[in-house]
Amino acid sequence: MVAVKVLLMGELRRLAGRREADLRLPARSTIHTLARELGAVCDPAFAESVLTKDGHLQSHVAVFMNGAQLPEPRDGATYLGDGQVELMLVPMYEGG
Amino acid sequence: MPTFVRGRDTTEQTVPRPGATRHERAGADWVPTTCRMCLVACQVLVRVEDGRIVNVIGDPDAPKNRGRMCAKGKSGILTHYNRSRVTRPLRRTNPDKGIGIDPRWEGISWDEAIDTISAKLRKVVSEDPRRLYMQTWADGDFAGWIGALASVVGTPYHQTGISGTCGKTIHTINYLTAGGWWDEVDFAHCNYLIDVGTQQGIATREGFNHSVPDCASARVDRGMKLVVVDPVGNNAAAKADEWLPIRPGTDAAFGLGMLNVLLNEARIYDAPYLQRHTNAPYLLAADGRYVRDEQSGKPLVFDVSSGTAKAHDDPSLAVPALEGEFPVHGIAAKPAFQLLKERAAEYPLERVERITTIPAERIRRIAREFGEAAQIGSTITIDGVELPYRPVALSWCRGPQGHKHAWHHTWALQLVNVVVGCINVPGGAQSRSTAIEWPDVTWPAVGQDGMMVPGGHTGKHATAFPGRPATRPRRMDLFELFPAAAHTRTFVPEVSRDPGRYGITDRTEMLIHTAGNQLAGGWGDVDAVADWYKSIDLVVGFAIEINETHELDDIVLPMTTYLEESAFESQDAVCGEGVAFHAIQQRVVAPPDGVREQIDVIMEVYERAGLLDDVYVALNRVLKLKPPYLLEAGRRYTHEDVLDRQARSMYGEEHGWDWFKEHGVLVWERSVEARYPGRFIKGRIPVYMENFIDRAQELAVVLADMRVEWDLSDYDPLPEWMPCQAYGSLERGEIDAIGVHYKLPYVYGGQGNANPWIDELCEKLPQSYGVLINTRLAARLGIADDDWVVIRSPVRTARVRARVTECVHPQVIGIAGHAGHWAGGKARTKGKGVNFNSLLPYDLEHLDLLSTAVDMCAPLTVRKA
Repeated sequence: MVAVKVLLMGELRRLAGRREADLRLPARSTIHTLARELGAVCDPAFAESVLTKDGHLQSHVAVFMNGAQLPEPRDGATYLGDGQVELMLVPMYEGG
Repeated sequence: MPTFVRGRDTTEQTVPRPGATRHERAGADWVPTTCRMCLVACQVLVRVEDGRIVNVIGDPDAPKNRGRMCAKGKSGILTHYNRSRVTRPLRRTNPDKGIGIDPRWEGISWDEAIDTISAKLRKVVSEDPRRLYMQTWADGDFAGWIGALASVVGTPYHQTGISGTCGKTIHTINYLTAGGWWDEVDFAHCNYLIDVGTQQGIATREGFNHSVPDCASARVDRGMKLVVVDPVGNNAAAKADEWLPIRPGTDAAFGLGMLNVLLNEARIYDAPYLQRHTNAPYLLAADGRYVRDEQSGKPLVFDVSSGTAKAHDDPSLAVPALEGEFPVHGIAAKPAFQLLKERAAEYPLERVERITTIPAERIRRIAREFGEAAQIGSTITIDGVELPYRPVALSWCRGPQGHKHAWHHTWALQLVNVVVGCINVPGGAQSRSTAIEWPDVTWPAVGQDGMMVPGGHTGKHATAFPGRPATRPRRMDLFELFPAAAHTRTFVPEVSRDPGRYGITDRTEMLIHTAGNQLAGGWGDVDAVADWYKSIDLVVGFAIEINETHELDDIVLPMTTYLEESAFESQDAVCGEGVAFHAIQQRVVAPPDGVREQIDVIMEVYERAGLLDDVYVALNRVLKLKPPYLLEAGRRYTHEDVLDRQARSMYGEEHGWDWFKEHGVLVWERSVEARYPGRFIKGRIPVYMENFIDRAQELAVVLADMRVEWDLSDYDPLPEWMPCQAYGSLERGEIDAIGVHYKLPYVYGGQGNANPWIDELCEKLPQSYGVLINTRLAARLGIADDDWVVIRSPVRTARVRARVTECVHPQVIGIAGHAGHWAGGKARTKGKGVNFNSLLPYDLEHLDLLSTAVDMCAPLTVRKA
């Protein structure tokens, strides 16, 4: 199992209806799995706002795993790793 | 861990200068910091004597400028000691807002100003954060603090670019073709440079203070040829071997003409590079889409050696076909390169001459010279590594991207570099920040369909590949309707005229901006822009002096000059050079009484609005802070505290903020692979934008659903020339000339000419405040040199001195710099010269519907005053 602490920022926090969530997921779970789990416990609009229909991360969502931003190409299939994981989802709002 | 080096040891210093000893005596010092008089941000040493700044020189330890500096940097002292400086918060008392209306400022306390701002911020965030809009421009670390707030509260409106052309295609096309941020030329090896609508190596561009001497050395030492293609005989044209005056808005035709010569007439192109590193061999069906492997879905390539189609990454693929037509899956398929050749063939040079006015034979000769100078097939060994040697580059920037159809103008030009294989290899067109090795490692990756995706340096900018499926817009910049644009802020004033037309319900209630001067230099038609500012309940501006945008503010907060503020900046490297570096900006002298550093102010605003702890959470990630240097909830830090945490998190305990304050710049060696990453990148770069087909179809569905009619012809996978409105007006004889803007090496941005020394230069160099009119046009209109003339666009009329010259295209009025100020805080230069942006019509007809660039062709009539 992997224990995931998810910190949510901005619009994602509003869509999820919470600041953070603690989840326990099967080993080798992915970002995609996590978003679906969060979607199940939060508003379905949350999952839609994080992932595309193809399961990729929305381009405006930055994911920081244990403090480090996931590099390009970002993919919902990225493994969360093992043990304890802190994940922060931040809407970065493209367009500088 | 890399090898650290002293910057001065990396490149021989050629400029003698006074000593730069730190702590020379009590009360006298040379303080290393970063100049912010323009975007380049050179490193400088500032002479301080008894608390006064008395000199600024280039920092010889800095790889970026190697001890050099320019007129803008030197004049920074007078921007600092500015007689028009705002030194206390101001509140507007006149409820009427508009251009030329006195705001009737009254001074208020910091406490009252911050209370008013934080109360409004709290209200907006609690009710609808999307009503908050923020604008920053080249503001060091302050932009990061503002950007963190956007993410924390949930507003998509943090605008980091000011100009209506800034980065509209230079970044997207660099991401696509080079994996980096913008282009430089490898002057250490380049032998043939074509500048199109830019003054690379002569007068402007990023890296100005190293590229100018490097370009000069390349010309003197190796005889590098410089060709300038520009409507204006600017500084670069004056220094060039050849100047080709081009009609504005025709760059795509010039690029396609070059491609026609290279691909069809002379057949000069780097076939092995195109086969292995681009999508040139990807097979296309009649509908323009890739022909894909039925099982894997991967794009197919025809292997000439086996006579079969194979997946693009099939290890057995021996000789990918670039030309011809092949039966695959029962259809006739063509390689993308074949279609590019066919498109180029639609541009015979006689047609290109009619469009651009450049003689066909001249284009033919230049194209052949360029192709031959590329020495395709040659190699060079650098530090024991054999690399392709392509000593040519076609550099383009603001000119070609400042147009309707900006994508096509610049894409056609960039493909000239692509087909000769000169990107990110010795001698060629380099891209900044393609590869970073330390302390973070970022390298372009392989994405969808085997194509390259940048290694993480796109910041907030979106990429054109694969782009995003269009959706009904929620944002007032219509970002959702521009699936291939980097950013779309130029649409904000247009949408604000009639938000309902696009179904937009967002309304800006509060705006915070810095001193970038969006009104005078950001969009077109200033009345349209002013209308948007006037519609906002509370506009807060950080100001050094009252500029045109500040005259529409409700509250003005004094801000520090760059010599009073600190910033950690980010690491950098000169393209092709053997070192990377990280230079900082630091407070050299304290601000005057009443002025507070803007990060300190914004921290207090966040704290009073109850947002500071959340901002810390975001900044811990964005600033890459590591334990034990994380910002902790409930604490208040000084900006220097935060800078020290950034420095130690990134470079270790021995390189804290105090180390950087003492030394200014940290320099380390980098590998040949990082210096010239071109052939080490695994992903392919496009010569054909297949993804545009899907993006356009998705967009068409959304627009139909919205009952909005847009021309989607820009989503052509191949470059094409399409005329802008001013071109048509000129052809029909409805106008006398097209007004274009050109840059002066001594004037920059919204701050423009207001600095006394810059103003003095402008007064002495008469083109600065006059407009360039070609001798033939002047004769036809009865205008003599130094006459006052009236230039009239559909949205503005200006009175200005004529400078009659051969150094401008006969159908063009050349307007320089950033002049024509009207704000009270610009008293010295008020009314001098012309504000170019004011002349630009601003509506859907003049906004590029792919990149959102503002069309910088001003349709003008000209009469003697």
